[in-house]
Amino acid sequence: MDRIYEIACELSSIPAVSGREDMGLHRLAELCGDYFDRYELTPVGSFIGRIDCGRIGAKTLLFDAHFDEVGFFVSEICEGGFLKVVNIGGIDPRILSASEVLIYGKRTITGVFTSKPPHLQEPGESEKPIKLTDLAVDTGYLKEQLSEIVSIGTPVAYKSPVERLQGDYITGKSFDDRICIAAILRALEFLKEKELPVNIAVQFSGGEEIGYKGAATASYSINPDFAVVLDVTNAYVPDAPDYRKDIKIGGGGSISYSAKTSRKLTDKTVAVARKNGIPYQLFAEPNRTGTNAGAVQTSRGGIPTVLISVPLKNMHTANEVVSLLDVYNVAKLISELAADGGIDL
Amino acid sequence: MIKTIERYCACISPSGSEDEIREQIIGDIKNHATSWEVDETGNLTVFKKGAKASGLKILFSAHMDEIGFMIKYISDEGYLYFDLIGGIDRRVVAGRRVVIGGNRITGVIASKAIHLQKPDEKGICVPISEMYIDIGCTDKESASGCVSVGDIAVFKPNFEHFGDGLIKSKAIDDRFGCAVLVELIKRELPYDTYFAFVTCEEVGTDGAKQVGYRLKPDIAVVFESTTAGDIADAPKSRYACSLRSGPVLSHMDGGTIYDKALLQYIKNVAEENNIEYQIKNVIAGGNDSSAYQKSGIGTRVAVISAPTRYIHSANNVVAETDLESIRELASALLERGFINA
Amino acid sequence: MLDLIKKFTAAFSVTGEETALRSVIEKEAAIYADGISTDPMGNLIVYKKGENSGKKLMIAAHMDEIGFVVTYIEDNGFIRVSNLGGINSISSSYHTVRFNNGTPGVLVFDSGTKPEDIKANKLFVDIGARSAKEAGKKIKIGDTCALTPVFQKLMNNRFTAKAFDDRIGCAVALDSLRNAKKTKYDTYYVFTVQEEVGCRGSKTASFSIMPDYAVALDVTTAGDVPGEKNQPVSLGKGAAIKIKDNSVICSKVIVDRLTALAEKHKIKYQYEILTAGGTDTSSMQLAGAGCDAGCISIPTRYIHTPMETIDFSDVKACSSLLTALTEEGME
Repeated sequence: MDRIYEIACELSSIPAVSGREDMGLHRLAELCGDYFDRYELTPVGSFIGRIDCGRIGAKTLLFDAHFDEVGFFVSEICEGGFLKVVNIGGIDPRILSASEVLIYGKRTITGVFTSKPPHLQEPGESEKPIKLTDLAVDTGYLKEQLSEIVSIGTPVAYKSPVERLQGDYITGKSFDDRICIAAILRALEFLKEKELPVNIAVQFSGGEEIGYKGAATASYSINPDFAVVLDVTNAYVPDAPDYRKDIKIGGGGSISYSAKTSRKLTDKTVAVARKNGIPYQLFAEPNRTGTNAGAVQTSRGGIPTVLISVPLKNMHTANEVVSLLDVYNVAKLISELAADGGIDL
Repeated sequence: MIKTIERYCACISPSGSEDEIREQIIGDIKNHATSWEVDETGNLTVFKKGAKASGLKILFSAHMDEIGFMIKYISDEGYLYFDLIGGIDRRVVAGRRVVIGGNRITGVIASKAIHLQKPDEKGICVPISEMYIDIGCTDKESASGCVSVGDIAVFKPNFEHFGDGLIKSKAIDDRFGCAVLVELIKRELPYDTYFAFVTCEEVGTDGAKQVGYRLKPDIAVVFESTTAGDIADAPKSRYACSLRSGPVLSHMDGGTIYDKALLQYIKNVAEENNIEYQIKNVIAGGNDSSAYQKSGIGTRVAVISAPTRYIHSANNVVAETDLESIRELASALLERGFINA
Repeated sequence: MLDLIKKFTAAFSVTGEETALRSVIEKEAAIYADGISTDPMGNLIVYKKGENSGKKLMIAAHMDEIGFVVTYIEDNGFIRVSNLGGINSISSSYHTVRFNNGTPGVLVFDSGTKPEDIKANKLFVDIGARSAKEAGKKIKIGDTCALTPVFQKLMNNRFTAKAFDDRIGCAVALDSLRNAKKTKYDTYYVFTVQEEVGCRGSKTASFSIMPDYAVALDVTTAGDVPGEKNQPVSLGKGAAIKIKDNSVICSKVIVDRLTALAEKHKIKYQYEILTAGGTDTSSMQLAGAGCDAGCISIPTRYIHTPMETIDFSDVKACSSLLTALTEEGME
């Protein structure tokens, strides 16, 4: 699990806001290129890696996790060295005031989201909804200096180093969905020692946070026979709806039943988990999963897909929390699924 | 001085638990002070003999404490519910990383994912009573093994230079003030001077009440952080003060009407020394001067502040040049000794 | 180019009924094309062979405008309509309209409706008919109508008209086709249909072409008007290179290349982010295995009202920039 922690720290720190995955693709390729026989980077911001098992007529199994993270783009450079931003992907404006970000312009600079001093507030304002348009990012530069460094469209992301908490919990940014990239890489390490009955294709897709874009195009180009999509899911926290009580952090990967995925492949995944004594949980989400699963399953003529999620708290904030044990168990599960190979549907 | 400020900002010392910062300060001044003492509630007072006596009892004061949190309740699931130490806007608390107690346990103030929020919840910050800290424990027993009710916590230390000569960190309010005073104590001074590093300013200027009563100074100058409203979308008339415009002097705020002659004296000294200063243009806020002014038979008070953005948050922002100007102004005042102020 | 703009804004071409404008454009484009065709959805594809036939560049401008479709004819001859695309009910009211068969009418909302309640379901068209039977001689359910064309020159070579969205894009595309001395890649100038209801036409056109590079031409909001906040795009500041809108984040290689070409040829440019609305760019970016896509936008005030307003210098800048890209390609 220390291995997963190491990989997670590296992955979390790569900047790659949706739509600008190009910022981080090369570093990603440096980090994991060696796991594959060959790899390519696509125009829509995805990394595609291939491992051939060497058997003629072998089927191809796809592992998908998304590489992009939520963040912001600069939309305006204002007097006083402040930046207005628009959100990329779903951001909760409640957690932004006085928080730190990194701005990836001609060089990388630090910024602080503003918070209104009390004397500028109306009474009762702290109970009213916060809008991103009311906030700005303080860069500490003057407007002229700032215009040399950033422009409209410059990406901005949370600044938040990964840190261990008690037990095997860790906190940091972009575990959605880098922690699943870590799980896939760990699974590939497990598989190094095994005979592969199928070819493995891996896509670290771009554009998920803005609508599953990369997964559709990457799956189209790979055209696999089956697919496993890995993403994160909201773990149970106080005040979450009751039905989430069965998705506990530490309870193992959550396997989804959905009309957007293949029931047969999902049943098979559950069977593999049980056979190998790997802890798992179940989640029902028939109409929509909010992940790449639907986009992959409807690619080309249809690709049977199963969705497995790592339970996570504080999604889309700078301090997401996961359990390393869950990530380990998910890595184990998908490696056993690949090794099992006989996915006859 | 900036390096000292960084060291001071890293201390975990909210109101009522100022031990760590006090030890740091004592370590820095003990070989330079003529005498120093710590009273029963933790205030540190330092006396530095000068080349001569001026006949006036002059006091320079800064507060050691910072805003923070206190653990109130550990839930069955191992989450820590907390209350505030000092006044903090809930909107800068949500989703932050904190550090707890002497063991420096890292925790995260949880924030309900946007996907789980109901439509009428969106964008509205929950009250502090509904927030909790997640340290990675899954039950009450294991959490109680690392923290207890009554433990204190602060925003995680995060000092950094950024932009063009700016600094951001938690607790610049008022660790920079402490650092300025420490610099002065290290110098040879022309007149006898007292320096106070007080506790519990953030919860009601308590330390200053105690020190004012005991010392009974003739003149007290408070070094503080004051809120700078020079941010995007704010009207210029309501900035209060701005970064990079020098020390902030005030004629009145929510707690004190400052001594007019003393204010004029400070302005004169600033002008004679070519130190650019600004006057706070909003009547708001308060500081230890209100306590000193009303203690005993009364004291003439003034305040010299560093313009600070996002005060009482995890990221106070100040300009280095402003901090240096404040030290210069303070030093010039000590040279003149407040004679005929 | 002014001749094209006038011609295009005068033509009838509501979402789903783009035939009239397509004929006009086809006539103009024919002599410059190496191939010209219409696909099943109605997109007009004008093909120009390139020097380097290894790559394909697709350019898209949409022919359709927002408008109204007849849903019901009242007994007393008033005609109920629904919206085609994101119409602005308030600014369309009290305006003359023209049906696909040329019949004129006035578009009004139910008397007594509060301003905040004015929506498509409160609108109707009065063609002067006295009964459903009389109205039925001219109009049937399913017919479409659009606001009567307006075209007016203002100061500083600025113009106001109906449907600059996206006739101005079509004019820029055609102007560039006329001016391009050569095309580096096989270039497809596609005049798309049904953009206003979800970029539908461009999806099929993109799938059949499978471009390597793609550039859309559309309008973007100019924020230099009273009351507008957070929108720095202005009239007169040049061609707007799109960073993102609600449907797409433009590929960085396209943004960078357009910037470099603008600098090289001293073409005025600015960057734009649109926080609402989408464009054909997204369809092209996601076709098949995906491609590098971007958009050149024409800064426009008062979009989706009868008086969209542009600065001709910006339009010329867009055309020059597009021509530079088609002639010089991506390297």
